[in-house]
Amino acid sequence: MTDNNDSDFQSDILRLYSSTGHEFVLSRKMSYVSGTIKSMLGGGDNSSFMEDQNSEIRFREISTPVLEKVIQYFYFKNKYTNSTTDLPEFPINDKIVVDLLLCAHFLDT
Amino acid sequence: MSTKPTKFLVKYSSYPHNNDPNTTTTAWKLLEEAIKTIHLKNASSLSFEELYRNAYNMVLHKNGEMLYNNLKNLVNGHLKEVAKQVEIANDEAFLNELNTSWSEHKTSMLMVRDILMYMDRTYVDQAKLPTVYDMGLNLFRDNVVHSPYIKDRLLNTLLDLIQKERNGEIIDRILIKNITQMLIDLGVNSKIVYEEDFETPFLAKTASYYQVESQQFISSCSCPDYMKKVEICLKEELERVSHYLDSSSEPKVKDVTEKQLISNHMKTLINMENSGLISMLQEDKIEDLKRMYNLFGRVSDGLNYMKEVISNHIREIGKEIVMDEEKTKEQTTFFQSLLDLKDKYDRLHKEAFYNDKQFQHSLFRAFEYFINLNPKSPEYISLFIDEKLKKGLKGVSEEEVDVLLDKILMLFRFIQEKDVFEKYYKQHLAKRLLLGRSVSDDAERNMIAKLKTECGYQFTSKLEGMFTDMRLSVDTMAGFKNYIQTLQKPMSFDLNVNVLTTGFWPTQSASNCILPREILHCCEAFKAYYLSNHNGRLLIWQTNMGTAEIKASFPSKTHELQVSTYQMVILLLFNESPKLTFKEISEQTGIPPVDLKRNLMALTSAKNKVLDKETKDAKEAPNKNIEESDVFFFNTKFKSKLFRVKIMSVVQKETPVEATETRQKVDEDRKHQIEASIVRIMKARKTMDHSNLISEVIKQLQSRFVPNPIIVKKRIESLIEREYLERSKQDRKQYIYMA
Repeated sequence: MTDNNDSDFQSDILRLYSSTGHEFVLSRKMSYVSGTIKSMLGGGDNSSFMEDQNSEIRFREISTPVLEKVIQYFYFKNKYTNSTTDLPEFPINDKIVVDLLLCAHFLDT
Repeated sequence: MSTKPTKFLVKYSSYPHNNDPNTTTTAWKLLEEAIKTIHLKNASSLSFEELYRNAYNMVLHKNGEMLYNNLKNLVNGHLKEVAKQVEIANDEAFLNELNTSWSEHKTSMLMVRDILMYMDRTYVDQAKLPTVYDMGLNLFRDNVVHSPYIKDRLLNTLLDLIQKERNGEIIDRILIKNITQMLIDLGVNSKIVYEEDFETPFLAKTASYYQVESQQFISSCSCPDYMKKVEICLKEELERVSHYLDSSSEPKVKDVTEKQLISNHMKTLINMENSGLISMLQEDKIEDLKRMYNLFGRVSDGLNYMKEVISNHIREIGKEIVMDEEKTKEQTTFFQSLLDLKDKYDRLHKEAFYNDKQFQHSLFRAFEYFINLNPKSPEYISLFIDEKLKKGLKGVSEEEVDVLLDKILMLFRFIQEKDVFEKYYKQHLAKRLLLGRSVSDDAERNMIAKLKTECGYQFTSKLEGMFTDMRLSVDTMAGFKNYIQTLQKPMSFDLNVNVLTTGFWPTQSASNCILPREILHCCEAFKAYYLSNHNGRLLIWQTNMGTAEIKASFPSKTHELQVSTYQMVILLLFNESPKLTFKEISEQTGIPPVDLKRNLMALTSAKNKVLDKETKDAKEAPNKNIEESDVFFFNTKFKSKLFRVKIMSVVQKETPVEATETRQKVDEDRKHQIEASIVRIMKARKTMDHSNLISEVIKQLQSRFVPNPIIVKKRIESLIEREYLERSKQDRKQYIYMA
């Protein structure tokens, strides 16, 4: 995302909020790993929901650690998709594993 | 970390486990409101996350079915409203209204689909229902497009618009394009809706439209004009398809229009008087022919029919030329007209029919057909070549000669009885060579080379032998002259002998004449010389083919006469007596009466009257013909501007007797060839059954002539008699080769 010009950069920003209101800022493109987020942001050209207009999504049912992990995974996935290097392990804390799983299901990741 | 949600069964514990009907109803209420909002195009006030989460939970708590059905009812109800809106729109706004509601519906269904994505992924998938979006399409189709007030109206409006365009009005193509696209989309992965609701009636309409149109055109236009119109119509229809119909309709529309415009009127077009196919051919209308070829090529059988008509036409013309007595008398014009015909059709074929192989084939067949109609064609071809090589090629460049010969050869190819041609060609070539009449040696050789590539070595070996003989004779004569000089016995005249190999040359019955003593003496000298070089050969003098130059002293002037050997012998008689009867001449020269008459005719002809004659029946007007009772005397009043006088021999027209002779000779030759071919085949195969053998023989001999199976059978029988072959004892139809 380094070589994007400024306006692109602005429109590319996405804010995600966890159930406790913690804010994460990331690139829209990264978030497209999740099918749910992608359609929320108008993966098609037609929908224009609140989320898309404000470039922010509030997840009322996702806790901060889980959301953080999810976002980590977005970057992980983007980095290693179509990469030829060996996949390093993606570290997951045992405590959140079930929640993470449910969240992944929710987000269609 | 991609998960497979459907397979994962975890008790939902971290979130409040609220499966009671109240929560579900609340969730649906929320969604219902949201969808209504979406229908009002107010989606921006909605939170996707909230809706998604609610739908997610509903499905997760096994309320997918309820959600799906509720959604269906909701959309259904909404679309009924939409349909009413569309229905009340007036005619002009109708399509627009429909189009707008369609695109709105599409948008809202996409959004609904997105919020209910989870249901699509799990419940719909498991229950094997149409996905939310497809359900939306189906509902739209049933409620709006298929609503009784809309369906027919839609179709009629579309057809009306297209009709308008056909009549030259400008219509909103993009609108129609959208509508047809809608019909295609509504088919959900198939084009059934498009095909049933629109395409089929459209094609029917198109057909009836062009049926009427074409009737009108054809009754008012000439064939070329009609074809031009058809071209335009076809182009328009195709454009129409590409502008606003589905591409799958293209072949169908093409089919329908072509059928109406071309197939149904093919015969009328071709047979149209004054402008149909035949008159196009006659008038060389290449553009029109090309157009016709292109149009007819589109429909099945079109070209076949066209081909047939052309071929029949050529046959008619050809037949006329070939069978026309007047024309066949003049071989040159006869052939020239054939060549012209061939040229013309070759050109048409190339320029109008794109060198279509099938057309070429049918052209060839047609030529073959009529050329072989006249049994004299082989003779005429040979005569034509003779004519060309004797005179026609003076002052013509080598390339042109080549082109001409190629053309002749093309016609030659059509001839089935090539052996008959060979016979005649040999005769004519012999005459040209011996009388030195050939204009160009190169052209002669060129022709033979062409024949050789066409028919193979066998065909021309004898012809080439004739050339070799001529060359060897030149050498022989040079040697003979030296020999004479060594003899120190000068001769009173020059002798030039061509030694010809029997077999290469067309054998003519050696009708000898009594040569004057001094000449005989000279001949003896040559014979002695030749035999001393080539032992064991037999020399036969062919006096009927020679020429001579003699000096004749007339009272006015001394002339040099170029005459044939026979004429020379006759003239020399007049050295001794001034007046001779026909009988006397005949006795003293020994020339056969037929030849004698002909030569005397030449000598007494009005142009070069060397001899004068006295007819007994003096009352008759001066007659060219020679009677046996005539008396001849030396014409002292002979006058000519030229010093050298060439006595033209009366052209030897082939008499009926000679014709049948040639025919017999040809038949005799054929017998041998058939036998040779049978023996060759049997030698290789050892045993063979009757029908196979015959077909094989015909195949082998095809390049020379087409043998009659009955004759082949006779030859087989004759070979059995002579014990070359034997019938098999087990199977009478089998033949066995006897080594």
